[in-house]
Amino acid sequence: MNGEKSRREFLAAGLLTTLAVACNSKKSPFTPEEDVKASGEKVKLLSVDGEIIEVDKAFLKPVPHMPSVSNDEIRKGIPGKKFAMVIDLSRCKNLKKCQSACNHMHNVHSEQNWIKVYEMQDADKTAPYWQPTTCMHCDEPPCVKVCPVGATFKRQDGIVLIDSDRCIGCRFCMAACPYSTRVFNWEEPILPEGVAEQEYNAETSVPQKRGTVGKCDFCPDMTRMGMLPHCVSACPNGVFFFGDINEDSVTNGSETFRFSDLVKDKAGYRLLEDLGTKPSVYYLPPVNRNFKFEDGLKKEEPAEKKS
Amino acid sequence: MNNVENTKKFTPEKIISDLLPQQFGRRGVIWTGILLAICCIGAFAYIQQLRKGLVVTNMGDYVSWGIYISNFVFFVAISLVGSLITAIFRLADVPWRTPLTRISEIIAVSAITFAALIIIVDMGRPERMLFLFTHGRLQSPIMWDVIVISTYFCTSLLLLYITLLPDIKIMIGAKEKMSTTPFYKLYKWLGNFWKGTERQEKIRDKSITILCITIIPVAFCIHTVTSWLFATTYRPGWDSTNFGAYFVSGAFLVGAGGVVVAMYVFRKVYKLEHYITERHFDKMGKILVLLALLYLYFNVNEYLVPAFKMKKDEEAHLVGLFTGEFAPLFWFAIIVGMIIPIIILVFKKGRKPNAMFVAGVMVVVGAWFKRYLIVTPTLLHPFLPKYDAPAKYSHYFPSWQEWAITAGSLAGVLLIITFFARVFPIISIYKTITDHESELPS
Amino acid sequence: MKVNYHHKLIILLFFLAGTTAAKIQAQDSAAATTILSLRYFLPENKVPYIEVNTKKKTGRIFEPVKGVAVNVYFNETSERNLLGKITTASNGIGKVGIPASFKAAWDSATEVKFLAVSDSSKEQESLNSDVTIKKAILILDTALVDGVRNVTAQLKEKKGSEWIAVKEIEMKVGVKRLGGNLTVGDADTYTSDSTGLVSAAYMRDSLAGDEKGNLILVAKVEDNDAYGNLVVEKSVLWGKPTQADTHFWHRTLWSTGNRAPVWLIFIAFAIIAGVWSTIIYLVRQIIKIKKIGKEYERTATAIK
Repeated sequence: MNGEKSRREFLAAGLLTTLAVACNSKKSPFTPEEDVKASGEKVKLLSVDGEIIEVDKAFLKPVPHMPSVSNDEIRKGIPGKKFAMVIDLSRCKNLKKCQSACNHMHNVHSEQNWIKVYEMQDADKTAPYWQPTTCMHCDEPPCVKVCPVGATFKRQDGIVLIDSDRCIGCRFCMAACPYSTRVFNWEEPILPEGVAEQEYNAETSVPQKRGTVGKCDFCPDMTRMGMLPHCVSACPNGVFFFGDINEDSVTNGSETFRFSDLVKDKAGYRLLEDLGTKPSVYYLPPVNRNFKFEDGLKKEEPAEKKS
Repeated sequence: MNNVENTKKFTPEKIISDLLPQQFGRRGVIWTGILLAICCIGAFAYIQQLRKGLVVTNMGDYVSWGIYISNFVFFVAISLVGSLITAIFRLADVPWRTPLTRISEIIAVSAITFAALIIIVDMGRPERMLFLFTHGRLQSPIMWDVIVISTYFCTSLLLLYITLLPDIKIMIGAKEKMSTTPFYKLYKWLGNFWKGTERQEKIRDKSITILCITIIPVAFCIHTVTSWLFATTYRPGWDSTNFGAYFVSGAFLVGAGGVVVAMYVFRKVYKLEHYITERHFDKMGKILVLLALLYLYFNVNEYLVPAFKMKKDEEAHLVGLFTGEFAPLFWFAIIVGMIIPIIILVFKKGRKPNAMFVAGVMVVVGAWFKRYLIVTPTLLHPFLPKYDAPAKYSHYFPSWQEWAITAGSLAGVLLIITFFARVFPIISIYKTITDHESELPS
Repeated sequence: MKVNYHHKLIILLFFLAGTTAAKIQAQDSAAATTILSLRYFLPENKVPYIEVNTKKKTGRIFEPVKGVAVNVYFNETSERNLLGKITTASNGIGKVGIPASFKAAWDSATEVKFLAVSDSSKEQESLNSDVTIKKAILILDTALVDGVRNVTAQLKEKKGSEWIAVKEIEMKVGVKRLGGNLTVGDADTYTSDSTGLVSAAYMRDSLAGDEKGNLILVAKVEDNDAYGNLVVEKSVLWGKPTQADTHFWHRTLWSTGNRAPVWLIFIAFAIIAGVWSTIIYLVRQIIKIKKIGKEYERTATAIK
């Protein structure tokens, strides 16, 4: 419940500051949000002081309208950013809200998942724990190395994306990825009405296309709007922290931590570090857990599971 | 040594009439018909795959490469034999190579053709194939494979063509004897300019030598690069520095096995007992033993060393092969594909045509399954557990479409070889005559 | 496969069918209740606006309800006092500012009431919500206390023509970061003292700023019963200048095709050039053989 509320707060706050910046047209060093499209239309509104101020109509838009990003810009990424995620294993109880939100937003095939929540046990006598995995967005991405046509690419902000209009479906990237994060559209994806006709956008990974590879994209479209990836905002337990390493901060919407402190204090680690892939996803070990492991074994109500 | 002892009594005219391509008999027509039918079924299955997508296969997100890729590796492997028999034997001046060179060259050309085709079949988006050229990334081993396979195809085709020129002249000259008149125009088009003058001979001879020197590194490259498609990943079973040599040695084995089978079949069908003699089988048998031992040696390296350590990620993979799900196939490939042929072929009696044929078939069949074992079990053992994915993805058995397409491609290779033998002499007539003349005491 | 397809369809309809979603939800009203909420926002002490939010609670999950028409009034629900009529967007949110025509009423009051009334429909009876706000501004500044950087913030309410600092106001003071604000000190929130001042010691030394070291400080009053939501930002030169990592632009194995490593390009092209020049040479040799053959033929026919 708490998480639920905080999340809403966060979203509201996000929009608020977005608009604050838009309104004052003050340059922010961190947020690309000043790009919110000005509509050109002005309205006369009262200030708190009673002055009459001409404000662009975009100020009152409830959903920020972002300028469309060209394919070239998508391939380069957002300058000055280096996105990272911290996943706190002590908070996960296998609710899979991250998974369902992600699958829903990206029209993932009903049997496949971009986010997997693993039931892990490293050795016979060690403790079992739940481990959500996204794409690791490696800094030495083996998948990108092997792509013959540059359909999957790494950007300067650290994100690894897929251009489904470029992908030839050779699946070498799937063999190369040691995290089993990539899924293939073996059949024609089932898309909501109107989505299939959309032009493919690598930042939203929509629409998925038959014969191409899909995977977690770190939702850069959300970041551009000043919002968090869907999995982060969907998790009621605040397991996922997302942020910019260049800013040295990560947030799950309600709590914001200095990234370096968090990873240091809680002994963060990365998966399969010895392979040298240098992932952008950090894990906090499952100690002092908020839930018992067994809590995660309880089956969710089927109705909730479907979405 | 005299390698033409059996043709001693033959005049050039006799050799020409023996070796000229022959019309299909009833068996030939049935054989071709069956192959065509298999190809058609394969084409039908591929059309289905084009319409519905790769969902018609039983591949999944774990086994994302199935028998298409293992079949591809098989084709690349068997195509290496062109360089072995023609180039290595020529440079080493192996005197008995004459009746085997063209067989191995056509095996090479047809197998590499279908290797390229099967890769297209495996693609989720075959219509975007040209992106490889318009958006190619030199960093990708697939790119290297594309470059090196097309290079090998061109080189093999050149080698086949240049060595064919004198025979074309003979066939044009032997028009009245030829029942193959429908191809007369083709012969004219291909080789009417070959007059066999001294200058032409000199250029041709030099060209063949250059080609043979060129084709050996290219052949090593195709299979080394193919092995790197696997070895450049982190996967247990693939993550090996030995993989290039392992693949090349396996390729020579299966190629030589393929040639033995083809030798036997052509000898039987075209009644070439006087040209492909028991001596040839004996020699090839010895080569096959050597290659099988070599490949066995690499297999010991590939499996014993990781099995000694049993790293956690390798363990599931190796146990699956040694005693688990894939054990029957694994031991079949090792025992039938290597050990039994070695046992057969070390004995002189085993190097007789019939026994050799059996050993050759064993080698080829074992090699095909070996490729399957290299590709699939590894993919079933990822680093993270198989989880949150459809249950059907944790196992792999090819669908009928995959079998049909694979069978179609195998039939296609045989079909190319069959048609080639119908149109061109499968043993170089010219070389046989010159061997004959140079070795006969006058 | 078919079953899944149907499920998917149902879900899609549910999420994306626009106004139908509201209808479905209304029919479902036994299980789900729609909530209309009204909040007052003042960013940067400039232009205030009212945000209405319509959402539906199913179980423990809130889902936005879009396409609900809401009238927002100033002080009382009368035609004259209508600030605006809005329809909630896909996130369930609608916003309205205070039009210039309300200047007289706005200036004369220090405490104002906003009311929201949604249109009634067959499925959903009219909802309403209101909020009473005291006009206030939020001031953010910095100070150096005993050599320690401090961030100060004050919430000032309107008293007559003056702005007077208010004590015991809870607020957040942080550094603006992606997706959230990193609190400047250890505390999550700060409360103004008896003089109405919040003073927060800045403890984020060497926190990365932009290339010059600029950081943006943020003070925020959230969902205060009397004052609503206020947020103000201030740029300071307290951060560590960060330079963009140029590693991305190096030639690596994972770079784009045109940034392949030089050694790779060199080796690859050397091999390709070597082999293909040989192939081309051989093709030319064949052409040469052909020419010789043609010549030979010509002389042969000439002799005849």
